[in-house]
Amino acid sequence: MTSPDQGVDALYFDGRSSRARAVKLSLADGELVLRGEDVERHVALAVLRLSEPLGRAPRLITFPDGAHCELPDDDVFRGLLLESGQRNAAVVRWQFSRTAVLVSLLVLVAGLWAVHEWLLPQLARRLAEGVPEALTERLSDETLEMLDVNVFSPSSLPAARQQALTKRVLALAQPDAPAVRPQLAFRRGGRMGANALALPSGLIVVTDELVMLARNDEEILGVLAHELGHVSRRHGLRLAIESSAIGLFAAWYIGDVSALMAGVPAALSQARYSRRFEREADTFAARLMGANGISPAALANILERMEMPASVGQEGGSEAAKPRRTPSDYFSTHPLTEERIRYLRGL
Amino acid sequence: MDKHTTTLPVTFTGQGRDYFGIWAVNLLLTVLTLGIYSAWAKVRRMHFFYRHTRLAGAAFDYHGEPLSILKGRTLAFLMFMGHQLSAEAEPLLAVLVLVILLAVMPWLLHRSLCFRMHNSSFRGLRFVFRGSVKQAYVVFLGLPLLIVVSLGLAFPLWIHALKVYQYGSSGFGRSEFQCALSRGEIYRVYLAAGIVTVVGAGVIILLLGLGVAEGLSLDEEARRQALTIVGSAALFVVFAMMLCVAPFVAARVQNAVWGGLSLGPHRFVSAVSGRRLAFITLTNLLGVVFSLGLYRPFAELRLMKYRLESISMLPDGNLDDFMARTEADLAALGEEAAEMFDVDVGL
Repeated sequence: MTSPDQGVDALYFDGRSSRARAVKLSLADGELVLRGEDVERHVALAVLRLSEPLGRAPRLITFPDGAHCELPDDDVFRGLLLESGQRNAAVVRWQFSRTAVLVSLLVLVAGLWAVHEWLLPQLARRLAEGVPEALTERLSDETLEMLDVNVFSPSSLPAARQQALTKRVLALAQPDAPAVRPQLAFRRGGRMGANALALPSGLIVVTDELVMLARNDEEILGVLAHELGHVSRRHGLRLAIESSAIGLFAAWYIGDVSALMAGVPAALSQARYSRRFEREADTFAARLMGANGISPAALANILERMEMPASVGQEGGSEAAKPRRTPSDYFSTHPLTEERIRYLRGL
Repeated sequence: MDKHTTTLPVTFTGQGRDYFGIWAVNLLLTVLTLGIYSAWAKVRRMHFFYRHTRLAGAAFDYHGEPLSILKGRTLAFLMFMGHQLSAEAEPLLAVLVLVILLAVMPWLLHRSLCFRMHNSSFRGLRFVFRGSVKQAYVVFLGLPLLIVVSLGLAFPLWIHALKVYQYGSSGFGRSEFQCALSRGEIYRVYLAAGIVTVVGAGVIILLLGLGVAEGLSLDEEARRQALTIVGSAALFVVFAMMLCVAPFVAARVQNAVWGGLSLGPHRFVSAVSGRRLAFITLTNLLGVVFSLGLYRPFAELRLMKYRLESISMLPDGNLDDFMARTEADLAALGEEAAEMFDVDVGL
């Protein structure tokens, strides 16, 4: 600091009134000297409280009696800080260090990733195991009701065929615990086309289109074994828990208005999770098929046909008019199915 | 209003890049300490916001102690856990616990308001909250019940009572704020918001109706497309409404509250523009989404800066004559004896 007569400009507030006094601050013999309109104070540096830096905000020097000075955050204040022997806390230094902030961000992102990859799936699995049967039954019934109204129509498959298929599924030996008691329901798939759908309660909806598409019963059993895998591993509930957790987090983070946007990250990571679940269900299906003397290739074969342009012959007009797509066209946009088929054939 | 010849605008000098470091380090330490650091994080954040807020050449200051904040947060956490655990053990017990929580909540909110005002200062003088506990029960328990009973019609009444309680019961040093908020103005704001919401809902229902009508007349493929288009249109309308109505309500309520506020002979004025606030909200939202969350601290700062800088003081004479409360004043309020802690509420 310069000579004591000059000093640095600051505003002084005595803590008893709101009056602002213009004062000059200087240092002498380890003391802060404050001089201004009808005030003069000499205070030992050791008892002063010096505020933390906050970018361009003014710095505060607080006296033991509650009075304080406000002055710009510049070299003068930093000199005072140095002289007083007070040092910024480590946290404060980190806040204004580019490296520390960058490291913090990286650790946070890594942590978030770890939660998303390991912790959340684990928690969701535990939670899904704890969901009472009554609740899964109700969830499943409601889902089926909704699908019946919006997508499905009653099956036109002969009752004898339905019973035969049900019998074969019930007869399957299940190598993996917990064994699932499958229940089949037959529907006309409508826009879902050739497909099967596992509900959390163990009810598996099979579409007429799937039964038509299959070249033999082994292929149907392959698809049903895959669906049993979803039921046995509780994938439906886990997916619901995981995506609602992500949705809640996103809603909280984005804040305020944007509840609607929260669905986006949930949907994005749903794709990732479902890829994992498909693989799990395929592994389950392959083991089950193996235990019952069926080759996993049967599942691969029907998968290939299921994912082809839907129902070439079925819905007539509009579909036939479009140019036929080849499997390779399809797979370029659906690498997941291609990967699954390769996996199943490699087993 | 002739005597108010000058206006003193509030200015906010916080810079995004400074706040970003504070935010990132705070977040990391909070995660690493399983939330315990959040109390210290809050103090650093409050310091940043208060000391960058300036009026008439001086900055505001925050004096909250991390330990008091930690105490409040621990209490809130224990109450939440108590409710969760009792819900698992015995639903009836959970209802009882919920009733007890509702019964103590107004008291907690009152303590929290006291804490916040007591720990805010300007020009060396503390603010104070003088609202009674009895009134806290009216505002935080009685009127919310009335909202339920009146099917929401009493909502503006509640907002009015809440603002009058919050602002009108505050003081600065020995001086007291008066909040002459017009009940009619608050009703007008919510009536306008209600009309816009009803019209918007009408448009959505119309769109959905169109969708259903379209759906009946077309073949399956076209029906699906029509539903998708109509569904997205309805979603867009909902989103646009949420984005517009909330900022306009916030703007008009802030303007009404500050326009009716006085401190002795000094008055205030607030000129938030609903359109500008909606623009900030929308661009903040886009910024957060497209920066994958990194823009969030900047967004927070930007909104705060706009809302603060919309406020001006219309002083009557200088601001030097406010006096601090004496020991006797404080004793009368019971402030010395009462336990101070902060319960976070978005008031």
